Amino acid sequence: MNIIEINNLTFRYGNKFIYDNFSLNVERGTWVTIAGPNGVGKTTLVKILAGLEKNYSDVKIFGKKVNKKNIYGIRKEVGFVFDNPDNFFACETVEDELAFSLENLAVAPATIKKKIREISELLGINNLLKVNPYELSGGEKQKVALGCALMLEPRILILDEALMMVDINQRKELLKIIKDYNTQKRVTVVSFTHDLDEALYSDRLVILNEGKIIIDGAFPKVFDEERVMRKIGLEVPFAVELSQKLRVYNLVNKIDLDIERLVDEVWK
Amino acid sequence: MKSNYPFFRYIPKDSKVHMMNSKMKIIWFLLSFFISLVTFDYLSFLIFSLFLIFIILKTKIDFKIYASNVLILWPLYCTLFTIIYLISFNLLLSLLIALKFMLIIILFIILTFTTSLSEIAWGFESFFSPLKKVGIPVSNISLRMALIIKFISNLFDQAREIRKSMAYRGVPYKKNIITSFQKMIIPVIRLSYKLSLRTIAAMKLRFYGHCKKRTNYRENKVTSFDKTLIFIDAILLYVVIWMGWL
Repeated sequence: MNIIEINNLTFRYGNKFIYDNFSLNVERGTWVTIAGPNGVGKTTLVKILAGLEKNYSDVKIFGKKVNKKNIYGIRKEVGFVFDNPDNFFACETVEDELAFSLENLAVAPATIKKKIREISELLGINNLLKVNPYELSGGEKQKVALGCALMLEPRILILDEALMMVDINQRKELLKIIKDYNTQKRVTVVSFTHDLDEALYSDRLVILNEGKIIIDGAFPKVFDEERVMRKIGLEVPFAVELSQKLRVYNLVNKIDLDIERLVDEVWK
Repeated sequence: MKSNYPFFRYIPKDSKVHMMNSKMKIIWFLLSFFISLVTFDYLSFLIFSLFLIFIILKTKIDFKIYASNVLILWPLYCTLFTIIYLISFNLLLSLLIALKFMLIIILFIILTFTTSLSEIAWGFESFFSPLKKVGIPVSNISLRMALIIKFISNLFDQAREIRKSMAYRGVPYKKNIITSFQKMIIPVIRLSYKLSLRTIAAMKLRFYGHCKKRTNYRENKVTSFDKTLIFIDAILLYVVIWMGWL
């Protein structure tokens, strides 16, 4: 069942077409990574899904059209995490930040308290609850922003270059948390990124260029199109690069994303 | 003396002032604000200043932080003093009004240093809740006021960043303050416009103004400290008015 349906989306800034007859469906419970070079329209698509851009095309979430009438109902079940959490914060402590959306939705204080405890434990930010979010490190800020999105118990999680400011260890930790959420709670994840290493956690990779889908597929098969990815300026993950080089020497016969297994193959 | 804490930014501490009930704190703030307005003699001024120093000590926030934040506005105090002096030619009156303005600033700083954005919004909302009966959207207005206060502190941050980055690019700030200020105006206006657009988008996504009613998940209980503070304020108000009549 498709939880997000985009049919023939046309969108432009002035005379410049960002999307022209663009279509994409996302199935419930999957993790889809939408990648592409800078300026390809990834953030525009996030804004369209969030109902922050006027568009007159057919974009549906949960079978409902994204329009003025439905948007608040849709947003209640979609969590957004953006590239720069500073733009998103509105309060002076992490605790207030986590509570903010639910307070606006008039949720009972006892429920909010319980949710704050749960989410802060899950993300390991219990010790930061009294800290000003602006004083946190990049990784901690992203954890708080993710926490704010998870407070809503979303059915869809949309990440817009959300892990860009995070160091490699914290990125892995956050990706693992999101993966658990995706598999255990069947939360659909749509992540927008230009980092294909991040995409390895997802089930499907969609690559955009000039407002069109140029590659769409599951792992690891999708990396057969590696040359196209490089051509548009995307850097493929190290495991893919290694597999391709070993393929030239007939040491492996397909792309493998597990480096340990690749080393074993070569060792044989 | 420079501070890392610009105006209107909350500083988390576990002081009695921080733990005050939001509604009681707003009542205390409004009463104190009124006292500062009706103070017209030196003795009342001294008593009220001592009371504010007592509150400042109770906040457990370093006195230097208050001092740096109050003194940052010295051009405003000087301008006010000059204007009043040019109108009245009364040195003492000009000094008193400038100092009074400084007291009001101190009062605002105490409120914002010790009260988080949502507590300020909640405090105003519960204080003005009777107005809801006549159809005034008190929840929205309160949160909007609190967001404006937050926006001012962000603006200070941005201005500081612009100043630094321009200094790196060779703008001689220390040589000519007026010229450097002119150079900062356009970037600050542009940045604050951008910031306001981002804030609007973030607020929309976070359901701001969606429900007519909001909740506050951490309402502090009214303590004897809150009641004592308001009681002292009420007595001070009486004393100040009485002394003004003498």
